[in-house]
Amino acid sequence: MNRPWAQNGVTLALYAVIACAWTWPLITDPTGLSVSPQFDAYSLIWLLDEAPRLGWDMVSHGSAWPIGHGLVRVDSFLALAAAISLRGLVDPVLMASSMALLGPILSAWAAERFAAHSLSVAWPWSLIAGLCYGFSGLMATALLEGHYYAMVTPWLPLLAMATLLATGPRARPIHGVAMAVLWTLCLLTTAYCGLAASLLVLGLSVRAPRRLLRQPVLLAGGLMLVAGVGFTWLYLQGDGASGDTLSSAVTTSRILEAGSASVADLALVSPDAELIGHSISPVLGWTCLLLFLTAPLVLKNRPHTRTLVILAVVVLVISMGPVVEIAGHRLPWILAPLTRMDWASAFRFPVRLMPVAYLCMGSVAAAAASALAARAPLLAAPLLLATVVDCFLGVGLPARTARLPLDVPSAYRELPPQGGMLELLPYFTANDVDDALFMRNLACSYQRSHHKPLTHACLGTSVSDSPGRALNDYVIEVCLDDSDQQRVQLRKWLVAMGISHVSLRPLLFPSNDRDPLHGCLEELAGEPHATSSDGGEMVVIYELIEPMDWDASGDHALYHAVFMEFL
Amino acid sequence: MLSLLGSPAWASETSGPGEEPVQQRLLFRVVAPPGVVLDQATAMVERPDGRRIPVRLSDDGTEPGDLSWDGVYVGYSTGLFARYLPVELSVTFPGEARMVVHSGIERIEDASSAALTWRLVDLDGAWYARRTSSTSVGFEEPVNELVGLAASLSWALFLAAYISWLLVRRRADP
Repeated sequence: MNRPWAQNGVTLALYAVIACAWTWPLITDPTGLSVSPQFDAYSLIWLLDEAPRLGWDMVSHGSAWPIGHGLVRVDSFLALAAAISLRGLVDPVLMASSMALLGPILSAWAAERFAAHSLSVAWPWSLIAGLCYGFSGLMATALLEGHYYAMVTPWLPLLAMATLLATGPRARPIHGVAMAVLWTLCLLTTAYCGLAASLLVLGLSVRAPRRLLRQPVLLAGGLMLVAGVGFTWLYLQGDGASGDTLSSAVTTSRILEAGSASVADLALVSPDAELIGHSISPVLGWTCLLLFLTAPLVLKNRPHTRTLVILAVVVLVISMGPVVEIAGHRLPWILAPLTRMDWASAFRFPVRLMPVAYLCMGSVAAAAASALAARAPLLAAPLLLATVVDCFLGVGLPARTARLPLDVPSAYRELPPQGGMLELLPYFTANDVDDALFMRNLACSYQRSHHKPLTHACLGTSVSDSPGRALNDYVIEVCLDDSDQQRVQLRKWLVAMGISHVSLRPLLFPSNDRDPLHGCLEELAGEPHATSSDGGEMVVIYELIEPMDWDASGDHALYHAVFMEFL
Repeated sequence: MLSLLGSPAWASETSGPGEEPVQQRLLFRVVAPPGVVLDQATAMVERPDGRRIPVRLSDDGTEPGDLSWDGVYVGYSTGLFARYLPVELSVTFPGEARMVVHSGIERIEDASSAALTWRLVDLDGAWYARRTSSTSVGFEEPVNELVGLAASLSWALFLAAYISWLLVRRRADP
């Protein structure tokens, strides 16, 4: 099979089959199923649904009602741009599922092309590069956590290709432009992908220091500077709160450790990966790793190999964070100095730099396999099979995927879009932040059915200090306090803020609090307006005021003023 | 095993209109430390329709998939699909009063069936139950981790041997 189109066709078909099996059973119901056991898929669905309604100010009026929620610190501008440009034509669940299904295929294909083009790896051995990169442990983490946009990263291998061309002997300005565009796409995919891309560019550029002052590289550098400054400016316009975290050396260390790759994580998936943390499982894959280790023996004098090996090792070391634990001994590691700096807690997940390591290791492994197979291709063919086996058994997919229908509880379906919605959520301690985010994100994802603005802010990892949370906690406090006078005042507050409905998910609350909460809400709003137990949870909705047609712009200012007075 | 204790007034008439409810089968397991025998273990669960259901967990081999007297107490509950469940676990040691060892909201990852496992832990005389991976039942945790590690290292060794063989062959080839 020597024709390029046939090789590309087989490559894409193979990756597509693996992607379907890997994300199983997503392909069976891409418009109604979530395979992510964690909670960020719900906020992604909310974002994709909300995006077409955003104005130029990037403020969502469907969230953090009635103040509004600035989305300039959104995780993925690319996902946001895709949703805005599709203008609601594609169902948000389908759009999210498409990212999860197509992301690994495109990413793997790009890595395969990088190995074939830049390292001259012969097909089918170049497939190994795609398998190691597109179906890596970190890609599995993105799937299981629900960061589907982070799976669409063909930009990184293409950036590596463009960087090698722009810093090569036959560099042209177009290579510099391509480099800048691809780096920007990485940055817009996620900030971590942008950081990883910066490391990649740095690592690949320093191999040829004399060429850095030539036109293509200078052009790339200038364009990247403009994009980077623009991105940073936009980021700084956002709200400061980025998590329920305290700034102290201990906390910074704890945050960085939790978001780093441990030695054990690199070898195999912890059986408790889904119970603790965020399904982090940056498994390297033994075939990829062992082939990578043979590279010095079989790839002598092969261009770029040494640079890629060094880059892979450096990024791997960085992604292991501030502490490495070996046989029960904790050793300070390369990021240990960061734990003494409060601001470093913002760099929560060093492990998310690992795509660079996967790309470099995968392409070097593919080159090593190609060299091993040069004389006896059939004898080396099992290497391909072993890499596929690693993609499944190594990262534990699809056994780790969830099977959760995304049906919206029927109580939400008949609500009028006018008026705000207060989703009552229980108190959560600092140890239950993940549960708090799960409950909030799930409630936000239901908005695609009722389209009522929510008092909770639907993005961000801060759940304890938002204005919506303050209102939520005040309502619970008054309801459990049993003071009639306060309840009359509470109803006035809520109505004056334009909140027409209050939703209660009783099973989230301690059993002792449920009856008082129901009694209080009945006192405020009468009998429940709608109740359901389908969609996986019990939902009881109370209607505070009859929905009315109002001039949204005029009244909104009043609601905003009342809310600020309340705060 | 299943019994309906009763539903609060606001929980009546709660199923979605015109839809076949999804049935979800949940397996509850409590793993007792070696040598510890329980008189009784119960998981009190609340389904989305508001029903409070006590699930008796037994270790006498009567439940499907349960090995008798292996220290793993097993029970099942089937009902409406739940995305999360309030669960209260209680155990009774011989001659002692019932004690609650866990109470909290458990997220469920599968609409049709799922397993929730806890390990009983003695913390200086105070017992509590800690959620653990469902795959680690039947082994002490360090042993279970070693099994995974051993399997992974065996695969690595096999691959290393194979790649070494390819390497040697390549060098031997003229």
